[in-house]
Amino acid sequence: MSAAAPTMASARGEALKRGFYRFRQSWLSLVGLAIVVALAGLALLAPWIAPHPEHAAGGFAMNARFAPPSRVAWFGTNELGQDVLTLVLMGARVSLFAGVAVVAMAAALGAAVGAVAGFFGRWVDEALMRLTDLWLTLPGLILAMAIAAAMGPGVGNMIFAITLTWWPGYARLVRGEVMARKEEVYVQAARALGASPARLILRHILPNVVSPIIVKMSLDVGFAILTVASLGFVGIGVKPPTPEWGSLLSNARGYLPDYWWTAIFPGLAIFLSVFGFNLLGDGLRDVLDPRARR
Amino acid sequence: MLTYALRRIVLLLPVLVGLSIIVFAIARLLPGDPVQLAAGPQATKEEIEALARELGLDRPLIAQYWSYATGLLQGDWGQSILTRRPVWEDLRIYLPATLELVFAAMAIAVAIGLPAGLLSAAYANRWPDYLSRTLSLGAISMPRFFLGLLMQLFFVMQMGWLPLGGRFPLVEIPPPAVTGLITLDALIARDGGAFLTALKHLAMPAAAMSLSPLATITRMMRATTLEAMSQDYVTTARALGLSRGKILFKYVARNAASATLTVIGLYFGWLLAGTVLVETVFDWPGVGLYATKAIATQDFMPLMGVTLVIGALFVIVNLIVDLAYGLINPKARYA
Amino acid sequence: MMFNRRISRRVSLLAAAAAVAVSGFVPALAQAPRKTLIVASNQDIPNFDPHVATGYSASMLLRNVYDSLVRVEGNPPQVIPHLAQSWTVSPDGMVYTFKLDPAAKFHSGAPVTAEAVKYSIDRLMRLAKGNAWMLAGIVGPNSVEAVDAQTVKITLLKPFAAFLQVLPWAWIVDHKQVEANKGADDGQTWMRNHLVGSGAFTVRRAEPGTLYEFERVADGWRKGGGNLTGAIWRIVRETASQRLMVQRGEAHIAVDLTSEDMDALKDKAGVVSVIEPEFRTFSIKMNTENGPLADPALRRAVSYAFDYNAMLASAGYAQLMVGPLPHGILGHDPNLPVYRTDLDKAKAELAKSKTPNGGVKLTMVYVNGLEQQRRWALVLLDALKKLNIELDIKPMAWPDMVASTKTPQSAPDFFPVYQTANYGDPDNIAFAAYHSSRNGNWQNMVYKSAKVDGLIEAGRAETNVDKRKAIYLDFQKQVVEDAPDIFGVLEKRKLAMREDVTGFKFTPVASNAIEYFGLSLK
Repeated sequence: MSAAAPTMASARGEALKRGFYRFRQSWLSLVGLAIVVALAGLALLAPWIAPHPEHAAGGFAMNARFAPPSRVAWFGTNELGQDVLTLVLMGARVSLFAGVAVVAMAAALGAAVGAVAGFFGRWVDEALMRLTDLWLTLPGLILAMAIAAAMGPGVGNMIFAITLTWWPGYARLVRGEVMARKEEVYVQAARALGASPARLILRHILPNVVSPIIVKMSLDVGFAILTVASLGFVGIGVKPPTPEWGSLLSNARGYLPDYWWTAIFPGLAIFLSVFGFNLLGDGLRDVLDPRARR
Repeated sequence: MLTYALRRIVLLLPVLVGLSIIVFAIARLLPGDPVQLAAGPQATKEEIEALARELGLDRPLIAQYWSYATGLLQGDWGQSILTRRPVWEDLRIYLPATLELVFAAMAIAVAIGLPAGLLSAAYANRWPDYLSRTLSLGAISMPRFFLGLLMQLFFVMQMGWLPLGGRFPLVEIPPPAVTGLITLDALIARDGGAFLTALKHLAMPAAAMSLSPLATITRMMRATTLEAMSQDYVTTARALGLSRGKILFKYVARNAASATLTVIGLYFGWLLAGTVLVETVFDWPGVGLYATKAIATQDFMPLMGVTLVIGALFVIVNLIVDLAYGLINPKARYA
Repeated sequence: MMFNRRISRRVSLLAAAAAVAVSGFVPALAQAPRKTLIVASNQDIPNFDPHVATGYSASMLLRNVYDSLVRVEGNPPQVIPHLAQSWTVSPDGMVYTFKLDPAAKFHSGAPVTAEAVKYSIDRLMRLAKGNAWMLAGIVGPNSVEAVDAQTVKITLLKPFAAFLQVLPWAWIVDHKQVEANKGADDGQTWMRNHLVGSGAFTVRRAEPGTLYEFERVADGWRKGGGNLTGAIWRIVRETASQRLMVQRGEAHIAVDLTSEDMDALKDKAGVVSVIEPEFRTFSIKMNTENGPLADPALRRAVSYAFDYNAMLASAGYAQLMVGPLPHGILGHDPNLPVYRTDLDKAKAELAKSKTPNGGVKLTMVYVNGLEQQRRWALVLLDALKKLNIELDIKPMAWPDMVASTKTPQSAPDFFPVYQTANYGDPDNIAFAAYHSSRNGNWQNMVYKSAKVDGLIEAGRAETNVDKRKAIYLDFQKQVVEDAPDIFGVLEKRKLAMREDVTGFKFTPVASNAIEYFGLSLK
């Protein structure tokens, strides 16, 4: 934090403390936190705890096709005899990573656009914000699908495509915050001392608008995961054998209703992770952005 | 008010032009050779060159945009490779299907969301509130395509109550198209059987589609109700001895609902863009399915058409909401 | 012909529609009950031009809307009269003389004349697209001769044993209408969505990507047949949806079912399963001209490393191929020594190759959404891992895949192909999949061998059955040695239909391209 404002920092600490108190009071947020932590832990440990990690890399067991859930294979096996639990666990790595990556990249891109627009104002602001507003009117999912399909399958391409449709929200948010901050005394003081615009933005303004960005990011991760799964579901997404939840569900669609377990578990995984992040995001908003609390 | 409305409508024009520029630019920047695709996989080099000349794709970008934009104004939205029909004609067929889906989803969301939000506020921080808040968060988190599959699994494969997908049985003749919304057309034709058939097809996709607006409306209704309950007039009414229930339902609910309903307008555009997955799962022949098929075959003109139409509808609906809001609440007019 | 008749149809049938109950079929007009067959298929019909279009959906359309000189029917397929009432063959097998049915007439009312036949076959060969390869080098520009209005004489450039088997794929068009709309491209643009045939059905409504509705031509020349008044070819991408539609009676026939679907339908009431062997091969083609797989030793290593049992297990109703030709076809040797999974031999071959330690990365494409191909891609990935070779699997749209086969440089390392025999003769698969003149097409993107070309041409021209068998045996041995493909499986044809469909006769030639003429609905 800015060393120039020690009193502000302690005040902020005070606010944070109160925030965390509120957070702890809200058991829904705690549930969200628990889900997210559990999912992240499982994703990290997946290669060691998954029963058949080789299945996630394309391995198969043709003599064990379509085994229903049992004590041996908790989530059953699929059309190639692959362990569905393994695929779902390893899929968590793909989906959580992609979701977080989309949000992080979109926030970075949006923050850059928003900060430049808000700081320089006038025609720069006008031009960038018109573009942002226009971009917001485009149907995001269709656009992301089109870009991802044109670029070909792959996690990276998918993340890139979704990011391109996701940044405008951050641009608007950051622009508003920057506009509000740039007239504040400590910024004016730094400007008077001859700080360059880049330094002003990066060192003095952005650090002070971090919390609304974090709130928005935490609220967005769930939807980013959902969007990633959506692309996988319509068949534009990862390359086999990458076990992405949406594409697992899409493959399993053909085996309903007889082999329901191949579809139910990837679907539940998507739901649970989006749910967890949404609960957590709600709680974090209460903590970090009390203005929005209602 | 009239000059304000006129000014807003005039300001719409540059927005629409900007939209067409962005859509055009994105389509041109994407990898993939539209001429090769249009000519078909077996076309010879000469055929491809001839087609490029014919489509004008060998000219500078500005000239290409100019002819695209003037074409748009004359109703020439290009030709779909997949359907081999003008995009504009396709959109005229598919857009009503999507609108029907969106309207039905919105109706479900309002019918359930308003009372649920009110209930939530009335029992703020007690179990009905927690239940409704958890449910609405769950609804927002539920992937629509997964819910669609679950519904198909239960209502179609298990119980056999509803059709798997589509808008109307293939071999039956739908009621004469007046609005393009089959349920409405059936009512206009006073055809109860057709109405019921159409409704059965509509039920699952509309329900899947309604989740997200339902959750939002519930939350908004809860928030506005809570806010309204802290207003002076409520305190006054209370002091006058009116019962809590009467205040809530007679005064607060009405105010909160009208505030909440404005979000519906804003949500409308979002819903239009969000039908893709539901339409895919339920084989619902709307613009979303059209776009998905176009994407799978890299058919650019329909994709540009769908993007443009949804974008334009989004802008126009927002304008209407703004104007309507201004009409109701004059203070907000020039904000 | 435009297909915008929906509005008027809606109005005229309004009265009928009002009377319709929640489900059930619409009686169109009081006198004739409508019998509309619904077929669920996952393939669209991108082109109607009978001399350009390929793919089984297009074959279905052409079979119903156009006629050919002869047809094949039954199992094994027998050649029977169609537009030609009778024919004679010269003793040297070079001259065929056909007598046309005088009743035959086009939808325009014009009679089907010898001139139309000549025009159609000449156009097919002139465009050199679609099915033209079947007659390439057999029929020349002056081969077809209209002796009189009802007599066609075809003089072959060289004898061709399967000539009559191929003729069902040479569709006869109403030449006057094509000429009237010729344009600059021999009518190709116009023919893409206009129909000028003489078949029992025509297209009433086309909604590409969604459905094609056929109606029986009023007063068609062909008598008899079933009671269908129309049919709907409905595009349903998911095979599970196709299966459910048949199960629920929303469709009468489903043509793209998987083995899992067939198992699920096994004891469902009202559903009849058809599981029959057909000349339909699946192989994974290798890029023999560009990249690491240009090295035959590496191709043989891959062929040995591949897990054939896993492939078979995930294929369901199928059998492993033995060499390039399908079982049961003339000249096929079921005892041909071929590659079977043997890791030691695979490693030995790998050691002989230019990449003795593996360490390369290869690419396989497959049709996005074709589940069976995705499974086999994983089987290949697993096999290559054992050779320390990486595999990049890319799902693609079919048109993009086809476009990539144009040159060896643009072609991927592995290219999976289903090939359905259009005629029950070894020449079909041999020529389409291994003759160098077919390079740049999806059936044979790059493979060329002068020796194999010579054998194929000899087999094509030979009329003595025993000599042909010997030639095709040599052909099989040579192709196996070159290992241009991973020879995969013969999938059985899997169709499901409602039991109220009658008159269906299984013919193992593109049997998913359903012919409506003989079918009835109870």
